[in-house]
Amino acid sequence: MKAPPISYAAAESVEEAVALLTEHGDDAKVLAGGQSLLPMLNLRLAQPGVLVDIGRIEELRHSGVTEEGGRLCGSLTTHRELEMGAVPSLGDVAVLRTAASHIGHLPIRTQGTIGGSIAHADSASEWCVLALALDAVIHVRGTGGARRMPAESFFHGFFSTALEPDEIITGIEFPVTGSSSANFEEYARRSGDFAIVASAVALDLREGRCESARIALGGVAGAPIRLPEVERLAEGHRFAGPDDEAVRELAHACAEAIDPPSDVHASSTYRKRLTEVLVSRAVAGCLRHDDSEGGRR
Amino acid sequence: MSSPPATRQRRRRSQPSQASPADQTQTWARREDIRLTTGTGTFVGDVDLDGQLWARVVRSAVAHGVLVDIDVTSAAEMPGVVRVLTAKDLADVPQIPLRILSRPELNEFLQPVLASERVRYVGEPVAIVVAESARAAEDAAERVVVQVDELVPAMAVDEDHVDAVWPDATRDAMCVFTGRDGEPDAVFESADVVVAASFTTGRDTGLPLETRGLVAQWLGDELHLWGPTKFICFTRATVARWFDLPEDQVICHHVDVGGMFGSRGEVYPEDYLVPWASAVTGRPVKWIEDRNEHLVSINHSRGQTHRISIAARADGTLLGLRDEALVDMGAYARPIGGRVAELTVESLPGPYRWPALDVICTAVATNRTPVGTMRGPATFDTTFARERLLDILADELEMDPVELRRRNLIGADEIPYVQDFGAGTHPSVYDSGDYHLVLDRFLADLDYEALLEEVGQRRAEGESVGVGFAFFLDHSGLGREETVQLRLTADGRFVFYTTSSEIGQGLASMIITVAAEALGVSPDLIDVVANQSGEFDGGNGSFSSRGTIFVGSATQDAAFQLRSMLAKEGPQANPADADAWRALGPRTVIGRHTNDGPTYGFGAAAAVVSVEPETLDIVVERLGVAYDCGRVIDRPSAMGQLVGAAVQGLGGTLLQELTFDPDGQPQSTTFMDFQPPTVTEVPRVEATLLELGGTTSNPLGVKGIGEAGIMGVGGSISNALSAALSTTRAITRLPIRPDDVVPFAPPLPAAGNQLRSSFERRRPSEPASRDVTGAPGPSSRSWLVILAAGALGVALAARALRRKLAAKGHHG
Repeated sequence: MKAPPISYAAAESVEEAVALLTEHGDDAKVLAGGQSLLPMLNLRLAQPGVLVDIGRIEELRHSGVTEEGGRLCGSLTTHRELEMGAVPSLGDVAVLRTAASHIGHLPIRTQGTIGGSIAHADSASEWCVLALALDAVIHVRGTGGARRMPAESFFHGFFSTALEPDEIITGIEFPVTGSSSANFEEYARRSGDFAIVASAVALDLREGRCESARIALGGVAGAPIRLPEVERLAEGHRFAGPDDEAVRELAHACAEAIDPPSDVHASSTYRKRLTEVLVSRAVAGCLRHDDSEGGRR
Repeated sequence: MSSPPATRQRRRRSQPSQASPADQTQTWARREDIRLTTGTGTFVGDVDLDGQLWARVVRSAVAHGVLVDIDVTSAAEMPGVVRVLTAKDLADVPQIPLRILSRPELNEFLQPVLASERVRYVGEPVAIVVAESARAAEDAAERVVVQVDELVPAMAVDEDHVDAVWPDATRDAMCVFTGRDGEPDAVFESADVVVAASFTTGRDTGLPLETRGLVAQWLGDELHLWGPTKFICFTRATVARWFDLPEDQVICHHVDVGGMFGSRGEVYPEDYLVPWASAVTGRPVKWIEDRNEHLVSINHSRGQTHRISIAARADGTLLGLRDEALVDMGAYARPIGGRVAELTVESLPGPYRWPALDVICTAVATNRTPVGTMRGPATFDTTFARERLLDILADELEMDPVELRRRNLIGADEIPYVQDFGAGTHPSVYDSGDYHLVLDRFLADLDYEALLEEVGQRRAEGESVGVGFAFFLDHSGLGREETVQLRLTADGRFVFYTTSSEIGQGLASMIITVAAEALGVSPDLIDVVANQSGEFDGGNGSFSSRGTIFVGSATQDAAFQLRSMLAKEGPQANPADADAWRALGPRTVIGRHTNDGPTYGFGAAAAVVSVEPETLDIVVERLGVAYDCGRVIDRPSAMGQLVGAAVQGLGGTLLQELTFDPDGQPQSTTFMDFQPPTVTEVPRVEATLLELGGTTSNPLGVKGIGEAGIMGVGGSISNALSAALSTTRAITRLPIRPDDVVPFAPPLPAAGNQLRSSFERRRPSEPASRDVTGAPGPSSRSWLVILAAGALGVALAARALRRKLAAKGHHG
């Protein structure tokens, strides 16, 4: 279980990384925290010719607020930093901390990065699911310059994304929607394992009335998904509180809307049940937050 | 699954008292642990010899097929590669021999050290690459092209195989064991009640921290080995026969061992391949298996099916036990032979009186990894099946399950008790014990009455919570004979040499404790050298929980011999006087213990299990084990064995399974899919350890303790869970997954329809549709690729995945 022979290049800047990727094309893989890539190399499930290490690019650690007021998180920000609320511009976004706390074990959270997770696009990845629910914008840079892609159009299916071979993720932007309340729930049988199902929900609430809803699921399809048709059901509803019967209905509609796979860990039926349970809890959580904290995200 | 939340712990009134802090500080400090846990041990992975090469085994990626060709050309040209060897390089391909010979017909199903005509499981060795480094060997191994004409994999144990694993055997049956006593037909016909059910167990295996490994070096006519463990005398004899050497020219050097669990240390193909590679290249060769290989190539275990029935009187008196058991043996008979199938028959009756018995166990070949023993072999499975059915019977008779069992336990006045099995299987003699007393102590420690009341109350409040028990008999101490060598050195130290293995079970501490007492000297003067044949090569090995029984008794014998030699020196020779010993040394004695039959220890496991009503998370709130081990020699080791085994049993009950797809591809080849419990999933195990003595099988009065802790865990948790679900017949398979609970769990609360109707009111023009376009499921194909890619060496699937990944995203 040793990685195959591989060339290694450390980029000192985004420009250098992009140049290396342009040079090597499909033969290159970007190394960030390495928490998915290195095991895949060791299991020889991936055999790229060149590793482009972006770990030294200081710029990718920077976080801040964009001109539009969105909160930007550098792609090399570790799960642990987000879990601890150590990113100043994001420290008050409680749901990021919740989601981060579910990722792997402490050593994994200490090494792994948000950008790496998003680029790897595992269906059950906490960040991918959350990025969808929060309408995050993925900032990327390549030969053609910088692009911003909404998370919703970023994940294409089974470990695949909208990234071009010469592009790297530079940051994840979480837009500010003042009235939004978000929550994250997942279930795994052992602490630290990939979720069997993960769910992130964001509700834009105005005095209890749901202006819009975003519901994202992981572990139920080849890629993390949004459920726009179910979301529309919630629009305009005035939730009486976390116990409102509509919470159950919404969660049930999510379970009805998906056709999850069966595998050695869980059947499709059980994944649907979990979906209903987790969405229900996530929505109720949003409404509780809204109750007690007046619209905290 | 999870261990109980803190709130639940606080709620429990019936929590037994904890050991006092003083006890705890005293206990956990075995001399051998310090070295092993501070990084100063010498495991086989630490052995490096000058000029050493590395070996990598090329394994079949196909479960069943005819081997057409192995092309090593490209691999042989890789940098650093010294040789690539296949069966064609051997005039005769040696086979892995049987160690247990109770079924000589198993000689028809032996595994060649390298496949030459057929491949019969994924992971079967087909070639070996020898190179200057582990990396070079692994790189080159990928270039070996193995061409196989695929046959239909034989995966079922209870259906005819399209392509038989062994075309000459009838329906792929390798061997059969039966147990017959009394008049089963008459009993089942006339009984007041008969209950029947089918139970299965998934495949599992021991998970030593250290994977298998071997270093071989030829020095003249001597073959030196580092790595054999468990039963190194048998390994050595086998290797000597393969290479036509006298046994004493094969020298097994001491190495530390990171866990055995029954599976590590049996003879495997690599025990030939590595010394052979060393002979061919004329250089030392090292081989360390990775975890990926480990999970497909070390002996698997469990994997049983039982169609079992019990006949009883209306008052709960057991009358008859019937079972048709099928054991999935995998592709080949391993050295342990038919022992797992034999043990299935022997362990089925358990600690109860059965006027009639009718058991047949058939060992069936399949295209899976071969099966051997794992801690509590067969007894874990049979205890699960029998104890589940006893709960079903109790339900049928509306009796308390513990009371039903108690009524049928063999009484102390009936012991020694002989359980006959009829022709072909040796009778078991339950030699000593007081099963009712053990049960009473266990129930008292559990505070059973209070527990029942508490659980009853919670159930009345609507919680899904239940209590379950499983009783078992642990037989231990096979292997008939053991010798140890004791050397008194000139400077008055005592050194014990044994071929048995210190595998973390505490053999060394046990020897030191027994010897210090018998010699009347300080433990600090005693050293132990285990797991070697160079200094002393007598004895047997470490298996069947026999260490304390056999090695301990032989140790005592050696110590007594030396003690009487000292006594002969005159009345002034006091064992506490170091000079007296120095005057007697140097001197060597051999201690010996022989005994024909195993000893039987009674035990019970109990569990309190609840189910989270929505996620169906299975929470093991309490797990208790009671066992009578005759006498405790080293309490930390004994408790460690009992508790550790219970935790391993919890894994086999709820989490870890070696699964295969219908094509015979193993699906649990990494820790992402083979999931042993971690500290967050394990409750504190409550152990009731009794020392009732009475066994005459050995002078120490001990019974084996290495396996007792695991035996009742599957049965007790599954009984507790079935009770929690208010469905006695709920759990029929181990390990239990949330999916197994779904059919018995209350449905989720009904969802209303207000959102949808309001939505439809708002948009009358839009058809009400439940189809959601944004959520396509993955094609079954893509999931197959993921699953298949987990399997070792499934080059095709891995390549497909790689292509996919390379073509798409590229970040890590």
